[in-house]
Amino acid sequence: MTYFVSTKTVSEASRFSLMSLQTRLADGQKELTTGRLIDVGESLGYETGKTVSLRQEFERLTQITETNVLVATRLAASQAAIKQMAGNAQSFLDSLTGARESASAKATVAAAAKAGLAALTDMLNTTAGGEYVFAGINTDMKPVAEYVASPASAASTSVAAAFLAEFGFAQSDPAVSNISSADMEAFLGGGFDGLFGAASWSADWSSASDSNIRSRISTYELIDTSANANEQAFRDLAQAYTMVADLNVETLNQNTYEAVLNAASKILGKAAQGIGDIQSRLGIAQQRVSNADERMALQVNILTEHINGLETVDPYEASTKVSALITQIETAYALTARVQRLSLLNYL
Amino acid sequence: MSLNIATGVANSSLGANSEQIAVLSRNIARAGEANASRKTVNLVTTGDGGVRAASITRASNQALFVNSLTARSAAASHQAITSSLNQLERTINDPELDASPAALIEKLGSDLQQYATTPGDITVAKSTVLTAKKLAVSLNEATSITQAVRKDADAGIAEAVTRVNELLRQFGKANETIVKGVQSGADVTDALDERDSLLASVSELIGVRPLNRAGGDMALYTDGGVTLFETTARTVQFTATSMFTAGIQGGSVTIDGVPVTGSSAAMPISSGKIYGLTQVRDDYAVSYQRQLDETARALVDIFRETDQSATPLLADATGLFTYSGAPAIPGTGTIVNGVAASIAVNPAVDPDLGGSAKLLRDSGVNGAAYVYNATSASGFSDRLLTLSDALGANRPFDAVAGLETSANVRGFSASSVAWLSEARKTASEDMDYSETMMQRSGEALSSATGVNIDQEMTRMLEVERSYAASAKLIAAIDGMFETLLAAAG
Amino acid sequence: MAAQANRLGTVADNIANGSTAGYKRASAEFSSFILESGVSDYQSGSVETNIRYGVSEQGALSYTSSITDLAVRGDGFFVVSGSDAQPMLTRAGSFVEDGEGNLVNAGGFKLMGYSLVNGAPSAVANGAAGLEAINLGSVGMQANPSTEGNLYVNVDADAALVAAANLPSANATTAAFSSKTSLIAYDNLGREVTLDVYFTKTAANAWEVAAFDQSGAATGGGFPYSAAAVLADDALAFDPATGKLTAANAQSLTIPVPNGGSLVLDLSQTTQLAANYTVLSAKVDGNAPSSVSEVQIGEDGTMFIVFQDGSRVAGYQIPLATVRSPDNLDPLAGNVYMPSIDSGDMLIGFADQGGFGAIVSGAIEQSTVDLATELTAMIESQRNYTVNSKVFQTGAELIDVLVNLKR
Repeated sequence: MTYFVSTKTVSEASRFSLMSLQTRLADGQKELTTGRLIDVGESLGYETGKTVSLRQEFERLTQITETNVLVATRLAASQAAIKQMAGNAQSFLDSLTGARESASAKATVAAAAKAGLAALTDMLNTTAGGEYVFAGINTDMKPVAEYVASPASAASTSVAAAFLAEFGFAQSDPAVSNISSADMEAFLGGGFDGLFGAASWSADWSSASDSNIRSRISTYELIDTSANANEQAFRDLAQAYTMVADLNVETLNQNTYEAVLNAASKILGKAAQGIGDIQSRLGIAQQRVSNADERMALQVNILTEHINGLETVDPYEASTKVSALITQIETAYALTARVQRLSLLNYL
Repeated sequence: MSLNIATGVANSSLGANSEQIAVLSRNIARAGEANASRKTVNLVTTGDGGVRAASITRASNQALFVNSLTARSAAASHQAITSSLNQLERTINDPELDASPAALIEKLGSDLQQYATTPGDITVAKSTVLTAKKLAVSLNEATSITQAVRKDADAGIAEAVTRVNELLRQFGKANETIVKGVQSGADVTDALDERDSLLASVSELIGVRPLNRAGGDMALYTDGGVTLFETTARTVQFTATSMFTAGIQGGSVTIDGVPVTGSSAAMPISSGKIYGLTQVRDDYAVSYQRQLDETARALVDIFRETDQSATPLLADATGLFTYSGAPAIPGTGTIVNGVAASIAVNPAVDPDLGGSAKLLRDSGVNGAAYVYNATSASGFSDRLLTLSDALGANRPFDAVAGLETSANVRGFSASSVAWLSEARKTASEDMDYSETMMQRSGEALSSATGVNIDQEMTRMLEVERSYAASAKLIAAIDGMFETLLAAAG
Repeated sequence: MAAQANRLGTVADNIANGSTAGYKRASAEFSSFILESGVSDYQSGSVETNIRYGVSEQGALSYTSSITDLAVRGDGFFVVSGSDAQPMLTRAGSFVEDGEGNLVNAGGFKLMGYSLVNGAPSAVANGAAGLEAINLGSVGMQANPSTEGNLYVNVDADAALVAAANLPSANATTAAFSSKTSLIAYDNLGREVTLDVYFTKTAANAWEVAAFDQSGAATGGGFPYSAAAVLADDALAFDPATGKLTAANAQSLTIPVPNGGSLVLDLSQTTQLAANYTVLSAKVDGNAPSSVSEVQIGEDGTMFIVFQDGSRVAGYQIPLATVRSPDNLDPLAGNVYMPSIDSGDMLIGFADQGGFGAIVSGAIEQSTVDLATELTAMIESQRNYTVNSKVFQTGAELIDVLVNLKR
């Protein structure tokens, strides 16, 4: 059997193969320079959905990692402030113990209490990234106003009102010295204590929200990442400081003075425990954030690898492919030239 | 045998030789043409020993020819599908560019996460709304691209139909020439070549099966069996649709009164450009549009607002995303055509249009009853976190979109990308395959029926020799007469 | 010497007509003319010349590109007529169409034939009755209504069933069908009628075939057709074993073509196999009116008229004639021969039949003259003449001697 081949087939065949080789060469070069597949969608087919999903996941994790930095900053700021508060409270407690016997110490204690109250206010008004960290979700509002201010703060006004209601005269009245320790204890445990109840506190002292800020720290963890100024421990601290600072302890008789100090010490002790709780709660949150970060960093690495595995090309393979194509094209050129020369016409 | 007869024989040989040379030169001249076939002169011996060119025939191979027609039709349909799908691919781009709706949904999720972490930050709020706008626009654009692809396909079908009618008309003329020529014994080889070439052109547009009939006549049927040409051309009809939106169906092509495309097609065609374009218009683009609509519907649904009163009375209403049917929420798990075309960010939330981006955090686009953040707390993140979660929560999708019926919107949009990419990959592979097939069958046909110049040259040498010999013979006879006349003189 | 002059005359004639188509060589045959003479004295006679024509000699055929160039290979003559309508015979067949549509040869004679337009010719074996001059113009426009055709298809054995109410034959708006094809048929006036033929599966191995006139279809094609467009329908039963039509089933569908004849559409080779609907053969006869494109002449002398649309009909049959002794025919000017008493009467028949030769279209019978032979004859005559003149000279000299004797 003899085969017949038409002249057109001979010339077309090399033309077609050259065309396809050149297209592949152009693609190969682009892949080699970019390191990525020339047309991800077309090369991967349904797996494109996978790279899109992986990229979505990647984006999500990166974003959470970024926002976790903010969360961590807020937590750290809170922790620092609380630590400061706890330290202040401790030294105030110490000073209370020392000042019990000495009458001259009364003024010092009162001054320390005033300073402590100011410091507490300051600490509770700590900001991080422009937000008040202890404001709960009311991050744009200063949680606690200055106690000593002019005009008088809502807190000091209500203390004064409660005092007047209890004893019939103001704190500055000299009659203060006549208040019995029992009366004072009754006031401290009753009307005064009521000022630091949740409702009165929110009304007079705090603009903070009871709701803490909740943050997503990993794809499935949603946790509270703040303490707010309305926490019992902070109220207790404020109560203890105010007690000593604003009841005119210098004027009180010794028994009553001691009753005040006792009450303050007791509340401080309770506050210290509460602060510890808050510290550990925030500490746990910090821990969870950093754990989440570590985990996500690992996941991001894995995702990157996956995405690269899908979308990128092996540079060695691409390079080999390109050189192979070049050789092929050169051969095809040579062949075409020779085939074109191959005509009976040249021999007649 | 007399000298006169000898002269006649030599003369007939010269005639036959010139006929052969003429055919050879025709062959050589058309060696480069795609549909040119090799022609040969059939010589017969006449009663008195002379020779004459009885007929001219061409090399043909019906099986290979039909093969190449089929391959052509298949390649044309796959080319049409691939190029249209590449158009649709513009809605996705390279995944690295994150320009697809899927990528933007993810971006929106990230922004919500960022915003939930710093709910008081108005810049973040604005940037989140901006992302939402981009997402809405990307869905709008994807819709318009998809509908443009459908419109292009529709216009392409209309053009192809006009062309088929024209080709069939020409085919009719060529066929008539052949029928007449075969009856009268004329040389119809060129007309046959032309008819084949027209048939090849028709087959690119519509899958066609030729039926050879007596006397060189040919009837054409589509690959679905509908009469395209039988003695006269049948009319191929199609009315282009001027405007395409989601849910609008294009017209169907009718041949000889029988619809051959569309769901009502009684005898559907299955290859050719018209088939490929119909697939794109009625199948691929429609499915993709449904996926876009479902994605958009899910987004509208996710960002809906619920009455926050103690005893809710008001119906849920659209929130961040609004659409043409707002404020009503589209039904669950049922496709609503055109959502992707009309989805937009609610102007009340859009800072560029005088809205407040904070409404994203607080809600209440539809009035006070819908406000989630009752105290306007700046750190209120519950709503944002809920929204962010909702993006990742499974929800029902309509099965007509051709993807999973329960998925989160992220996954759904990613599946949509996967679906399109897979369709492209398959179409592209099919196209490569069918183009290779077309090329191979074309080569096989060309090899079987085409011209080889070398062979023609060889035959030219033979004819040249024969011509020279006949001329020599005439000279010899002439010499003999010369001698005789000299004797007579 | 006169005889030799005659012979030279024929040679001159022959050489002159060396290229005349259909020319038959003339030759001069001599016979001695002997006078009564005694034993002793010789009465010198003379030579009688007989001119013979080699009418029955076959000339070589030379091929031309004209279809109406005719030649007879074998015995027989074309019947032609001159201006006086007298039928004559000739072998000169280079006919061309003249201004009136007649086929005329180089001698100006019209070719005669039997018209086939009104059926088979009734040839009269020994006369020219019924012959008429072939006139291409007279055939003109001609339309033939469709009367028979075939349509062989394979219907898909796995096609879906169609409910009785929705069958095409019910012609309802909801009509459905399995497959459709259409055919062009011609009515009496040659108008094209497109017939829609539907094949519809009604039950296992049972189909319905229905034909409609497409011009009566609903807008956009399809059902319902107007009442006048419903033409015919029939049931088809297929043999489940072979997929062919059962023998009992009608093998054809008779379709009354609107304004036309009854078209018998043969369906006998229609099959029902598990393959896609395929048209295997489709053919309907008839043609639309169209003018004559060309003529075609078969070996048996049938002259086909090919119309513009490619269809062809037999228009004339060209007869051949002969006589008992062709060589004794009377040659007349223009390469024609008249039957003479010697030749016998004209016998008319058809080519390729009963001893007649074949008619070859696109060829001319060349003159039977061979130059070499004629030249040889000429030389011979010349020599004879010279010798005769020598005899004459010798006689003259003898007479001279005789005359001189007298002096």
